[in-house]
Amino acid sequence: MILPQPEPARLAKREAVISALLGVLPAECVLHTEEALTPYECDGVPAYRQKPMAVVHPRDTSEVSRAMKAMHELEIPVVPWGAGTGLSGGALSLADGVTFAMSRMNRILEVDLDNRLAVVQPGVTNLAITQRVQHEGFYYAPDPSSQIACSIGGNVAENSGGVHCLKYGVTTNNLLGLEVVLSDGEVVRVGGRGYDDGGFDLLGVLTGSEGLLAIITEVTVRLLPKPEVARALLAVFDEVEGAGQAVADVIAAGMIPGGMEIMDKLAIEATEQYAKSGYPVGAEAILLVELDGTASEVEHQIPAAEEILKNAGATEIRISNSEEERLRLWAGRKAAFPAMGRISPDYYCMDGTIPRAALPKMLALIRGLSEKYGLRVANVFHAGDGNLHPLLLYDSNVPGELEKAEEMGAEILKACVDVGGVLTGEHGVGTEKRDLMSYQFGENDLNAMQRVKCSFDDSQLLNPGKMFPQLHRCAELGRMHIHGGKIPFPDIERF
Amino acid sequence: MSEATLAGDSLEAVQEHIVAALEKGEALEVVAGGSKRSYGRDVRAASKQVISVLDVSGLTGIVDYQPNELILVARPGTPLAGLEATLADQGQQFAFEPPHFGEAATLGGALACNLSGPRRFKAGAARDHLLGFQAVTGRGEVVRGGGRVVKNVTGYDLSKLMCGSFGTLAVMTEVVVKVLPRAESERTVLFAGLSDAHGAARLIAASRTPHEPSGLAHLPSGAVLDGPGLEAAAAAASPNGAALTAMRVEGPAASAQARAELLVKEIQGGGNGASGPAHGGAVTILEEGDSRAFWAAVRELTPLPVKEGETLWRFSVAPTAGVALGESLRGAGALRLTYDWGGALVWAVFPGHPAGVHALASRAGGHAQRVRQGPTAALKTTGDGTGKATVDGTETSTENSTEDDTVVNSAEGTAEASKNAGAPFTELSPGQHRLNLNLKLAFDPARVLNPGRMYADI
Repeated sequence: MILPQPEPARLAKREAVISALLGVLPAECVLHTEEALTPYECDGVPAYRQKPMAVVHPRDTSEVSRAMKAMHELEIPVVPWGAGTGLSGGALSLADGVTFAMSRMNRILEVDLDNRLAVVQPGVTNLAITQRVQHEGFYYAPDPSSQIACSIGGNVAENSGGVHCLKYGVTTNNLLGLEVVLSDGEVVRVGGRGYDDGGFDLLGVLTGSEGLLAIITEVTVRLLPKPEVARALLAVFDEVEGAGQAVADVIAAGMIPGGMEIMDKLAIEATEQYAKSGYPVGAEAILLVELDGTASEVEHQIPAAEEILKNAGATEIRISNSEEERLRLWAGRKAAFPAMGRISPDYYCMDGTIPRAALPKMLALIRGLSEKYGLRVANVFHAGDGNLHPLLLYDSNVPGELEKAEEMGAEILKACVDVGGVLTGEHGVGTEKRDLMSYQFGENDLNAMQRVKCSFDDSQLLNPGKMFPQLHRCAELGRMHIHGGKIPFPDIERF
Repeated sequence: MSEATLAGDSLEAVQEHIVAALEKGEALEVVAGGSKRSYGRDVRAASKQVISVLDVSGLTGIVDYQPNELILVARPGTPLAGLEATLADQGQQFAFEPPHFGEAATLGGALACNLSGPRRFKAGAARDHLLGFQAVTGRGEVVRGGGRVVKNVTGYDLSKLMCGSFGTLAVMTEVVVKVLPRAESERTVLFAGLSDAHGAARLIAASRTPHEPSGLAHLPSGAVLDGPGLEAAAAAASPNGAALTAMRVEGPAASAQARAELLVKEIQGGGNGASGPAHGGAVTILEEGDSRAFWAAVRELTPLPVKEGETLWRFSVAPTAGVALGESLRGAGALRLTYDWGGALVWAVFPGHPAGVHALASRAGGHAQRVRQGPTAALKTTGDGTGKATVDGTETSTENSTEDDTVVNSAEGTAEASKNAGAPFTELSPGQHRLNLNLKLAFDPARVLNPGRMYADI
């Protein structure tokens, strides 16, 4: 990966940038010493590091707007930063840019349970929303594994998922409205408190736009009543393919479980060493199925699911009979990523999605690549929605291993596309998968996306170098842009 | 002006017609089944441009249906009814429950209008179920967006722009839609005779329970309930056509029945005291067949007939804002109303073209859309109660909201009111408008596709 290259003309403006920021924000909100910038040199992808010229900590929307406007005037790129937990290098700072860290905007502004919504600032953590409303029997559904730390603003920017997506959707399905600041400093609100918005679905296109279209300054999320009951089943299989078949059979039986997760042998071993949750070491695969909903429905589904798992070849099935048991069944899965640290100095987490039917083919391919590159792979899948997380184990202290892991990862992602899937299911394109975009999309498709970019940010100052293999200048894309409400077709009928 | 009908029954044909229109400086009205043709502005009546009809009703067929992958790939001109029958054979459905508004309704039409039925507040809208698409933009370029899997964050989510853009950005030629298992059974609790305010309060109370209601509607008294399968609902409203407050629960039969009974117990007993639903209201629980028929009727708005000369409007607001909006709409001349989505969707029928509905919608924190007009509605006007709507001048008008040739005969009709009287959709804020216009120009810079359908300059 070649990091985005700084432009000398921008680096030369460093003093002017800092003084402009100090002109619109209090000094305590502007960081620019080497030491203060260190925490912002990488996000959740430690392999890519770059320090920005400055970091700002705006405290409200108007400070975001003023700081953005100042950067617009100086033509300095801006990288929005939530909690820095992202797994695609989407918040990687730019050496010739300024990082806008949103962590000080961390207030829950309103909880409205009659309308089942909460209005929050972008720096609020995902879990804090649920914590605020759970005593009333509500929760916020998307639950990325980093939910204790990741911010809701970052979730919106990345359209984050989690283990309960198949049933409850990802971030985009759980939002009602946003307030954003555009690259020229203008504040725009989209959506609201009702379910449908007027005009084009700006809320939909902003969600998952990876900080390239606007800076998110306020989020209105949907809250759901907490399911009455949740019960987990853990099934043990002699081969991963059997677990995959069981997933297909559960869905074919008309069930949409809250979560369905597969772990392979190496993943089981690693998590067992780390979390000691009683997983069957030595088994080829386990499948975790969580059934949640109303008590009467879950009781009806448990025996049916048990039967399906048995018929698919499960050699052992454990069923939780209490909340404590349910959490214990999940404990290993939840610890899967940190557990990798026990068996490998570094790991590289992939995130492709495939049609579920292609799982056996993809597993065989990953095994082949593992041999070819000489790197071990532990597999964790969000099996219900076909979202794979192969974890490539490597050692960054061994010269060439990172590059090998990157190359192998790219082969896996291309194979995901080849079987009808996509490059990323929930982590985003960011810096990491930018150069693979043209493998999945044609030139017209990418140009259409870049025109969307230009519709929001024709200055291209927001998070450049991410998502697109090559960012065309808006003028090259042959479009007109509207400034200050001027109408492009003065001669058309004003009906 | 020459107005041909062009057959867009293949990707190539659609592209050819768009390119030809671009070269001639003409425009196209994109039509498939035509069941939602009067949703928004009449494209051809509103423009002096030459506008031909691009008929995509021949763009039909299932390309790929994989029940186990939960996806359906189809051409957008495929009729909805046939697709739903195919899904039902596999025990599946479109969870967003698209309204048809006519036998000719197509999948593409439902998606383009982002039309969702009663289950929307639980299962999401049409826009939450379009996973990917292929389309020809107003530039004549073939573009793909999204993918064929349910979990995908690769690049911008262009599928969202296809839904609810009413064919003004691109003509879809293939769509990938998420399909889901259909519930084994369902029940509906009906409370009869509640006022709109009390009915709505019960819907809110039900939405806060963990019983997972998937339909929450209130039909004020006078709703039309005749048709096959509606006998039980009509009986619940008899003898005087009382209001019905309806709550649907879906799942295995035993579970649905148990939850229906829990809702009756908890909600009738007052439920959440803070919401204050009044006691009382005769209770009926509809069995599976009656329940399905009832919600099909709610979805298709048959309880709310639109007669000649009348217009049908749709208002999206926060659930708790619905009833107050409904009251103000009555004050502005609304003849009949229904509430869906737990109060968040208000449907209203007006005589002719009411003035001030957009101001009322904005004031309620939402927006309004004109969905249908009777054959002679365009010629009629209404003069009742419109002054009220513009008193506080909340309506934000922009320079391009001058409308049609509708005349408002309100005694108190202000310039503001008449200026906005014919606008089918509530105007956007200046910031939203700028972004909408930029997106229009990004996809359709020459305004070839459905010009003016949503907003005058989109």
